[in-house]
Amino acid sequence: MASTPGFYMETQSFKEDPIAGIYIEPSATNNHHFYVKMAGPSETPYEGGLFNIELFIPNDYPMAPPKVLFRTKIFHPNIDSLGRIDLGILRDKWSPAFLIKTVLLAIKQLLQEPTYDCRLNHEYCNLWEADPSAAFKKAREWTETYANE
Amino acid sequence: MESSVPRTFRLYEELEKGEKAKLSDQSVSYGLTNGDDTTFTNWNGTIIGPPNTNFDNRIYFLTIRCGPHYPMQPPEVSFNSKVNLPSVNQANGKVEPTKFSIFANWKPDFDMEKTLIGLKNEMIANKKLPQPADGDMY
Repeated sequence: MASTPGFYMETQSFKEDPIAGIYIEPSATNNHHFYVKMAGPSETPYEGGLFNIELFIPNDYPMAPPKVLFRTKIFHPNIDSLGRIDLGILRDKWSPAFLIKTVLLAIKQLLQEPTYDCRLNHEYCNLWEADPSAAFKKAREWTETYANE
Repeated sequence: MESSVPRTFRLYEELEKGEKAKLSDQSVSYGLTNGDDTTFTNWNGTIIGPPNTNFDNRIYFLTIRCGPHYPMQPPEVSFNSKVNLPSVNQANGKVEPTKFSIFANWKPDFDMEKTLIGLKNEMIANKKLPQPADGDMY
């Protein structure tokens, strides 16, 4: 049997040295599958919300990035209605030197600093271009409605 | 030992494969029925009738349902377009699991693409079967 997979040790170290506002739990039935809760960062419309994210470590990790999906509805220019996240390090900018921690911090950063190329969420950008405060307001309403735990 | 992929991520992978037109066979396609179906359950598929068969020049529409036990269990598939094939229930278009070899011998690494290609192959194997009028639906 192979030695303990590297990512298992990553998640153990998470427990010893957690990142503020990010909680990670392995699935009871699959040790490559993780349930993450991420607190909406302060000074964003996601503040006060708790967002469920699922993460899966594919067999070719770390040569391939983890697969990540938001499971809580969120109104954000880089996240679509299926919870897919438009983040370079999850695709072509992935490096085997990155850790699960790197990915989760990058997602938290994306909540704080969206990019407005909006490849995944045209609805957000259309609203934001027309009326930025309406987009912010809608993001906050969705946080209150869906990310309320 | 390789870890099995949880249902959500397996269907996410199939979605990406279907969307990016990465299918090995360009005569089949599939996509989510509803763009915000976070359960990844209900899908639509199409098969272009193979040339040199009675299915030629027709496009067949299907509904595909990946239930909670997919991919351990095969999807439920029905033709919406009328078609005369041995594995298809002529009353309602349902692909009968006992009569369709891919469902009868299902393995979890089979997927929607393989299913649609299997149905297309059944068309080739039954190329001279008389077919309903083009455009008839169940």
